[in-house]
Amino acid sequence: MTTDLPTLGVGLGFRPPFLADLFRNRDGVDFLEITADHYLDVNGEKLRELDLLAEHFPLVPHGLDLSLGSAEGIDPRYLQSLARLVDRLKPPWWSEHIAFTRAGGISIGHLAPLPFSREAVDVVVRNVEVVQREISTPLILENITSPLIVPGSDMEEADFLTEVLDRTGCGLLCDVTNLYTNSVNHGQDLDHVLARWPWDRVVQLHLAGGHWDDGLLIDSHAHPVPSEVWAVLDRAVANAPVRGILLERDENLPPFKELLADLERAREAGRRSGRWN
Amino acid sequence: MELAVAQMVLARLFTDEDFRVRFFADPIGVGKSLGLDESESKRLASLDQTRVDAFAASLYRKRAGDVAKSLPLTRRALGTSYLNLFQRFVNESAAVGREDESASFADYVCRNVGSEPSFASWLGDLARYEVTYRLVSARPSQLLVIKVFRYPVARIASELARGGTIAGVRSQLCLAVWFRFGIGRMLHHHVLTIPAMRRAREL
Ligand SMILES: [Fe+2]
Repeated sequence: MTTDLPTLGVGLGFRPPFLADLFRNRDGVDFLEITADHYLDVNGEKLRELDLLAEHFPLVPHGLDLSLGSAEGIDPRYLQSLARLVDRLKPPWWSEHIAFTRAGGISIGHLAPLPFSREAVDVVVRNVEVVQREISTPLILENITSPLIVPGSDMEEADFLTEVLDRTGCGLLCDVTNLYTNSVNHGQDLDHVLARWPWDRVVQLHLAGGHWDDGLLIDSHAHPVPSEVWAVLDRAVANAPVRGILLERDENLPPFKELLADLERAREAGRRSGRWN
Repeated sequence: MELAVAQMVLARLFTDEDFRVRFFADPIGVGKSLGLDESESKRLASLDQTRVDAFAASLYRKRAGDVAKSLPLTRRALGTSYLNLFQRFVNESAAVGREDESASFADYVCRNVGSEPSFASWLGDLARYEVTYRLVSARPSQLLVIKVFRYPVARIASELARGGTIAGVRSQLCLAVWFRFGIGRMLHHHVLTIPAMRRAREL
């Protein structure tokens, strides 16, 4: 299912402050990822912003609050709104996280981790099936970062992901920063993790910076990409059939040319591995 | 343990500080009150508490940041009191709001303006004005919204947006109107002070 997806190249997570720079530097940015939640049930002005972006860049919607890992199931109204957005944009694929954001009437407002267990795999598979009945555009799933390993986990993250992807048929949005961050925070051997990772399922990569806080590495999207993460990216691009690499920067925005330089570096990594010209 | 139950407890651990403290102090007792058996409670209590605290803290920073982004003028007017007030809001609100907490925070500001002598008397009006503007903008099907304020909110808002400080504001009844000429059409907005309305009637 993921093998016939197009190659997009290198892109940037769209944030409104980037707008003017994006149009001045259209050649440096091959596609944009938009946060789907910012465009659900919005007014004409917001939709016009979206249409303007869509006229100039391929757009990939990236959801935050579908809560694919919620044992209580998917919110049908949220799903309907998401389906309308995806239908409007007709992207090559769209993405969500393997996480839960809602439980027992509480909206956590953040991506919370699942136990790496069979039961959690079953829940994600069930929810993804519900979603795929509403949205036929290919869905790719992102690995999250978490300072916690939830009790009840009886497999490694890589094996958990592999099972979810195998059973749903979804591609992987591999966030290399999250992969690296989890290996550091959970004291795992990075080479071991990389060796088990389901590279053959990767469609897209995420790349971002983080910082240390009280002995924990945090994927804050507010700092430059560290050299360790670039190294993981290089290995990912060499191993995986990557069709897009996306830089995420949310806070502490640097001059746009710094972001363009990162995109160029990612583009070069893709070229070296023959992912694109 | 059923994942649904574990997620319900985790969601509370991540979002409710008081619950978190009580649970880690007495996991079996608190778990029992939620219908967990002893082994289920023990298993959840095996979570690294400092990591749960770290997760909760990052979540809290994100929520405070999101509301500050949604209500930049209210945030600016609150200055250094913002984080304190947001903490009180989080502690006192039962459930975490979905996505956009700005409306419930604005409501909280309105209800608590009187509780702090350092808060300007117009702060509640400003929060209500800013959040109404935000919500009406985001709802293309809303054709008409009218609100009454006791302070000249539009002037306070534009002064704050310019980075100015607000001093010597007197109470002045005014009517704020937001309207569209059709669903999805452009939003228009006017603020009428009461004397201006009287003049309009005389014409
Ligand atoms: Fe990501």
